Amino acid sequence: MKNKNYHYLSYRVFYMILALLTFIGCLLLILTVIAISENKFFFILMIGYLLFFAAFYKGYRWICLPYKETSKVLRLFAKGYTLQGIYELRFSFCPEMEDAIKKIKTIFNTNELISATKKQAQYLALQNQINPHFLYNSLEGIRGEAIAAGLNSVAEMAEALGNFFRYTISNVENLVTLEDELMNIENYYFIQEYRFGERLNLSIEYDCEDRAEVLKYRLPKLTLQPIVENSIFHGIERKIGKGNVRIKIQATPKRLIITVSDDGLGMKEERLRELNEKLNIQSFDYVKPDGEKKAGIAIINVNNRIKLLYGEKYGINIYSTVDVGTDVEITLPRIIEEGKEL
Amino acid sequence: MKEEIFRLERVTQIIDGVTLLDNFSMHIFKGEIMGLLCINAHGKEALVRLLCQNVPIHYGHVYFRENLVNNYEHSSMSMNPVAVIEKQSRLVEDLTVTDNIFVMRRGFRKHLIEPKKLNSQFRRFTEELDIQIDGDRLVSHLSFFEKCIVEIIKAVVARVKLIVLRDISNFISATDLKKIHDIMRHYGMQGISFLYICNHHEEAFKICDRISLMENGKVLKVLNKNEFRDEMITPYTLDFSHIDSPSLSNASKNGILKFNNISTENITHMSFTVEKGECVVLLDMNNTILTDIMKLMQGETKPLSGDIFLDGANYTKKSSELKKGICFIQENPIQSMLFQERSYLDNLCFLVDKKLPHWWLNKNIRKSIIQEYEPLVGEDIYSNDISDLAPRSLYNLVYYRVHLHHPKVVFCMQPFSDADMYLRHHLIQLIDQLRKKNITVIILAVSLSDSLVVADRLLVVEQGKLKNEYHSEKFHYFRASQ
Repeated sequence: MKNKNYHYLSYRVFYMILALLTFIGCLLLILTVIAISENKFFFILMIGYLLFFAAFYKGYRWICLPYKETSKVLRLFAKGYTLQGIYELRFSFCPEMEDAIKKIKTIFNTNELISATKKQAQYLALQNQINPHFLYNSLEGIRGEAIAAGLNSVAEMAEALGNFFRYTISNVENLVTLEDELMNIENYYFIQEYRFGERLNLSIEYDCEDRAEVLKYRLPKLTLQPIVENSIFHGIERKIGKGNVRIKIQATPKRLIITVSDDGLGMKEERLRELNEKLNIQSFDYVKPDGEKKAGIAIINVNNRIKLLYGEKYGINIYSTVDVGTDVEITLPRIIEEGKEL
Repeated sequence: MKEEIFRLERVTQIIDGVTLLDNFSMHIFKGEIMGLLCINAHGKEALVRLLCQNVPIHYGHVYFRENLVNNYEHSSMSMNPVAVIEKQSRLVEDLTVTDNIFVMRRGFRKHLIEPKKLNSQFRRFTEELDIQIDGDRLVSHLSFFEKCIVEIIKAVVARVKLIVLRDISNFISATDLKKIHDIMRHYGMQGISFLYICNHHEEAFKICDRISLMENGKVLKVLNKNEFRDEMITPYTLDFSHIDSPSLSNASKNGILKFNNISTENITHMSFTVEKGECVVLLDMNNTILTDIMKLMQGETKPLSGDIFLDGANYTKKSSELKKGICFIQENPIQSMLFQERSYLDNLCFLVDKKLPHWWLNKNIRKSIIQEYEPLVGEDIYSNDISDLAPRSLYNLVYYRVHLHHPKVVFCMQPFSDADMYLRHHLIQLIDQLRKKNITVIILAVSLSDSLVVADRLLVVEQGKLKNEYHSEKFHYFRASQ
């Protein structure tokens, strides 16, 4: 692997420029010696030095800095940190590279990825409903209620289940209002309440003045439900005693911030680091049908959908501490009408 | 709708291979007082710098008023309208207050300076804040509290959107801190945002709207106002309550140090007695008397009236002879009390020749010191270059130097100032080590920090007078009154 750097054109160009600069520097040095010994040519020497430094400075600003910027973006792309970054490169190495990136963009079709993540979201949401535990527990709830002869509550639960299935299956591709999404969460909580009873408590807080307006903001369907579900099943289910899930909603002129917090078991530092790395690095390996099922897939899916739809500046952040709980912060653009980002 | 002033989104900053900020996210709303509770100091400096200037970052985005000002692709190095207030003032000491506020600001284009006009403008601010500061005074003549106020006013005049207050309780007294908090709330109402960086949750709870907990450059948790409870912080902090603190022996009640009706320029008729082996905290609520006490004990000044007795002898009259029995640990001692060019052992034995002249000629004494202290400080004792040692080792050096010297009384000036939680925990253990050797410890402080964890008694001084005295079992009364 000796002299591997010569393989790259950038290194070849760099070495050529270095050689050229050294040559010009030597020429100037010789001219300086002549000028001092002959006691003339000082004006030419001064102009020579000025031009040399001006060319050096310009070269630094024109070539060195943009090169560093582009190579940094490419490096981050290679590591998976950015996808959008390479589409928005300010300086390409050559026109062919620009065309190549355009081609990559078409091959790496964002729309297809979005639709894959949507299907994955739908699949994940449904998978849990088909899950025998879910059905068993739900039916247990119904049975228990029936034994207690309170038929109204049986009807209520059946209705809640129906609504939940309907919301989950229909129009996943559309944006929904925050109000609809929260209603689905309340419905989901209503179902879970039968299982957890007083052990589970859900609260929704609005940290904004105009609550009615905030409820009209739009967000991708099934953004909140997988996160609340994770809070309940990974945070509160195995916890001894009561558990609280809190959804906090904040809005700024350009963003909608939703924080889902639970006071459950929390997660270990290594697991949290692993999850946050997956949230930062855009990878779609989990979409593959043969992919191993792991906790946290739903959150990664939601995060990827948000990033693909709105860009890297939006997405999910997780804070968690063992035996304290987990906070999932979802950042979305403030959208009032479908397709209109503020 | 809340307007966002500053937002750091998943910022990672790596300098020289060290990750200073790790996936760091934080947003600050207009008029909000955001707290930053640092479990350790890692990343604090980098964060403050990043708020002030758009320096290169490894990954992430920085927004100011929802506009992207810095990201991983391009960092402009431009400055953000952020003011930082810390112990090291950014004011020009040899200029007046008004010159600092109005003349030394960006965009000041007048060729003629009208002091009267500037003074009247400045008075408007002081009247609004109900503060008495003369605009014509030189900054070098101002107290820390006054400098802090002037810097806040300067930031307001310069239309700064975010003011970062960094560990101000280390140098501002408890009474003045309350006034600063009132001023923060006042300007918060006017839409100026604050980032309040501190090491103690009790302090942050009093003033902040939200608090981010940071450790190793990473946010662990964001607490909302309704979560400001001790039990929310407990999982993130070390347990200070189980420290095995040496108890005071009942036999010694003669008083090792007595202040008998002492008066100086700032102290008024102060009398108190400290018992042998006791740990007393002298809390100066107005930050006026601590320097006087240090000067009195160092023999630099004489009291206007009264006497000080050390172990029964009159210290005011024979201070040069009795000084051997007293030691001082300055504030930030690792910067001011160590000789960087000397070895660890030389530093450790620095005070020994006060008691044992020419001890260094005797190799056996050196050997026995190494034998005694190696189990306590470890391999560091053999270090020839102390500049490579961690702060924790350097604090060991300072405290074990006193431990080896074995004075009757040691005065510790603000021992916990600027120390992160792990260091504070360690300092408590070091103070305990001194007390186990029956050395009387007097902590001079303007803010309590963790002093009460080690203290047997608290003396509260207000306006130069001893106002109250609390024994350890009654500390909760004092805490409740705060």
